[in-house]
This record gives sequence, C-alpha cells and structure tokens, in this order.
Amino acid sequence: MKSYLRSAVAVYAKDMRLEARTKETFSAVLAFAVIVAFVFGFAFDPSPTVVALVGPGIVWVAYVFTGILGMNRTFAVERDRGTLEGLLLAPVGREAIYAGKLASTTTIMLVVEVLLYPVFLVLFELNLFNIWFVLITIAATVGFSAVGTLFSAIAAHTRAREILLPLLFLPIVLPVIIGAVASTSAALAGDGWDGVGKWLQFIVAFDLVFLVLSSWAFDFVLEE
Amino acid sequence: MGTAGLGIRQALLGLAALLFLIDLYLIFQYAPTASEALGLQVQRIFYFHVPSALLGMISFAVAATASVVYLTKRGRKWDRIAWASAEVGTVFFTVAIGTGAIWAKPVWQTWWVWDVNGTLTFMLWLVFIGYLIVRSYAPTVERGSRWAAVVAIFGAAAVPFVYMAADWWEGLHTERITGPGASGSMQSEIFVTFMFSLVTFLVLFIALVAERTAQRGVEESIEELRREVSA
Amino acid sequence: MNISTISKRTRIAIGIALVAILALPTTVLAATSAANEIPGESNLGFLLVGEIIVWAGFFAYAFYMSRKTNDLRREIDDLRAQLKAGAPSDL
Repeated sequence: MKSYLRSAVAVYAKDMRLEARTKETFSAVLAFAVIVAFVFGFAFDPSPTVVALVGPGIVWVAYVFTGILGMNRTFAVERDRGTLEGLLLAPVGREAIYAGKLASTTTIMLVVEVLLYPVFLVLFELNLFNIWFVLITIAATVGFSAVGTLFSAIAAHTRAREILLPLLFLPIVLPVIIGAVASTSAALAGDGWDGVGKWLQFIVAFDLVFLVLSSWAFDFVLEE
Repeated sequence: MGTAGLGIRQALLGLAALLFLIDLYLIFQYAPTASEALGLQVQRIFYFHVPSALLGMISFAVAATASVVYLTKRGRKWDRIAWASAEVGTVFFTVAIGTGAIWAKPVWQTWWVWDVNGTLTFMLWLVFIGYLIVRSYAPTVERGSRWAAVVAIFGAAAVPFVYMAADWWEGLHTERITGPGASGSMQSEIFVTFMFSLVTFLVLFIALVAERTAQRGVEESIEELRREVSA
Repeated sequence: MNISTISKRTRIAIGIALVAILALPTTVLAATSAANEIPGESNLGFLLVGEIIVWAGFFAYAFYMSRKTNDLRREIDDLRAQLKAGAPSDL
C-alpha cells in the first residue's frame, strides 16, 4: 500500500513539475476554456432569465469540452514523446500510474475550472463563487477524470484519438453531466443541501464506483 | 455454445422468418386499431419498437457479461459472442430509435423525448458504437478485444447511474408523459400480439448472434492461417 | 454483389418476404379507407416509414453479413492459392 502511494505521488509529482516548468497542457486547456466561454457569450443573450435557464448547462458544457482536451493530452503526450514505455517499464504498479495520472489531470482541470469563475461572472453575470458549486465542481471533475484518464490510455494508442475519447467517454459520464447541471441549478438558486445534496451524493457514488473500475481496467488496457 | 453448426443456425433463421410472417399478420390484422390518443394505426409500430428496444438491452447484457468472462477467463469464444452481440444489438437499438422517433412525431409532435427509456437506449447505442469503433482502430485484434471488453463493462456499470439520473431529471423537468401502451390494462389481443412480437425478435436475435459468432470463428481461422502462410 | 449471384432459393425467399411486408400493411390501408377513417388522421404515412425502418435495418445487416461471408470465401481461395504456390507471396 505504501509503495503504491509513493509511486502514485511520484508520477503525480513528475507531471506537476513538468507542468510548472512548461505550462504546456495548462495553457492549452485554459485558453480553450476561455474561448469556449466566449463563444457561448456571443451565442447567448445574457439576460437574467436566459442565464438562469441555460447558465448551468453552459458552464458544464464548457467544462466537459475543456476536460476532453485536457484528458486527451494525459496519455497522448506521453505516447508521442515515447515516454510511455519508460513509464511502463519502471518498477511501478499499473494502478499507481493510473492514480498518479488521474491526480495530475484532475489538478490541472480543477485549476482551470476555478480560473473560469471570474470569466463566467463577467460574461454572464453568473456568480459561481458558491461553496456548493465548488463541491460539485470537485466531485464532477474527479468523475470525469476517473473515466477519461482510462479512455485516454486507449485513445492515445490509436490514430483517431480526438474522436475516440469523446465518443467513449461521454455516454459513460452522462449521469455526472446531468447531476452536475441539475445540482448547479439548485446551488445557484440558493437551495443548499436540500436541493444539492441528493445530486452530490449521486456524483460521489459514481466517482467511487468508477475510480475502482478504472483502476482495475487500467492493466487490461495497457497490456500489449 | 462455441459455434453452433450450420444446421442449427439455418433452422434458427428459418424459424425467425416464419415467426416474422405470422407476426406481421398479427400486427396488421389481428391487433385492434388503437385509440386516437395513441395515434390510431401508427400505434402498431409499438409491436416493433418495444421488442427492438428490449432486445437491444438484452444484447447489451449479453455483450457485457461475455466481456467480463473474456477478460477473466480469456477464452476466444467469449470475445466472438460479445462482438456478435454488440453488432446485432446496434441494429436493434437503431431500429428502436428510428421507430421511436417515427411514432413520437405524430403522437407527441416531437421527434424525441429525453425520458428514462429514451436516454438509456440512446446512451447504450452510443456505447455500442464506441465498442465497434474501438476494435477497428486498435493496433492488434487482441488489444481491440480487450479495449472493447472494457468499454462494454463500463457501459454496463454506468447503466444504473444513467437510469437514476434520467429518472430524477425527468421528474424535475417534464410532466410525466405516460408512454403509449402504458395506460391501464392491455386488451388480450394487444397482449398476445406484443408477446408474440417479443418472441419473434428474441429468436431473430439468437439466430443473428449465432450466425455472426460463427462468422467470427471463420475470420479468426483465416487470420491464423494468414499468419502461418506469411511466417 | 449483383442479383445473379444470389441463389434461386434465396431469391424466392426474399420475394415472399417482400410480398408479406408490403401486402399486409396495404390490406390495413384498404380496410381503413373502407371503414371511412381519414388516412391522415390515422397516420398511415408514419406507420409505413416506421415499418420500412424496421425492415431496412435488418436487411441491411443481413446483406452486410453475406458480403462478409463472400469476402471470407475470397480470402480462403487466396490463401489456398498461396499455399499451392508454396511461397509466402505477400511479403
């Protein structure tokens, strides 16, 4: 167990150090997220009634597309640079690699998502600085990452990774998207635990199930 | 269960064809015309639509189960069954979605409703398509089989979550639409026709999966031979 | 795949199927107009399209499968020829 944690942290730390130095993935993902937000800003008339109706949907569509971009890079970059073999040859259990990758992807996505709060505020008068929304963001992002990191490992080995990841990933995380949008509506309407609680528990349950499942499946996916 | 012989497969196909002829008679002559609220004649699509959707679900269950067995026991035949089930299931789901839309338009004036069944059917259809596409993009058949199995298992694991989420979402956002055919008790003619349709589609499912599984067996033998010849 | 490659038995079977598929709904149509129901109200157009979807779906899959079988047969002949020639010819 201790070596598992140590290995996972090692993988995570390597990714974070790389990001801190190059800011490659982070800047690409952040730029994309801002662009998506702006496109929605042009597409929708941000009157209060409209925003109340479609705001949560817009936020989560933006986050999901951004997430897809980020998750694709998780393994695609490793594969293209040839560092994936090195990672697999290291005396590190596959579950630990998965955990480390999961953690680094989630971290980048969470940072970008939080950085988008002021953008949404400016474009849509949508105030996301809400404790419930933060919790929802964390839970949903973990869910997306859990599934996306695994499918990214699959997609990275194919020629069609840009289309394969979203195709595989979206049907599976559909419940998280539904839950995130519904609970965001409740959170922004000020419903507190009454409106948000049920959905939050639901997303967390999803996270737990798919963290375990993805960890188990990771080995099969990487097997030659 | 490995590969059914030619005789059995042909018998199954023949049986399916025969059942279909009888089914057509039942659907168009025996079953009564539905009420105006259900769309009068177009309601007869129900006898194609619901069995197709149900068989799609069954084929998903078969594919997912075979996938689990394949990953744990590694027998080639499980992969064959899973693949065949996925292909046939995709056809059934496509028919279900198509007929669902055609039925919905005149009755509810909309092509699609995101109710629980619709959402689940659509989502599983997408999972199946991903399942098939992953195989064609995999670098080797072995990896393709494994990746596809993972996809199927993930799809199955997501089903209860999709069901719950869609159910709650429907409760929040739409007045409950009582689906056509969900009202009260069924007349005996409707029930008989429906059950017969269900059996017909089930036999068709088994016949098609048996055929496709056998075909996969032949494909695998050829792949093996090719490897030997060019070795 | 052209018509002449389909065996006579298969052609007869397909013929029967088409007759059944087209005849039965047509009789419903006839009965409907006889009973003075207005076709538009009973949505017969939609019913027909629905039925076509069902049959197109399954026939398409059946054709896909028989085309696969043909391809497989050709590959087997290919391999047999290669074996006879004695050399691995596709290197």
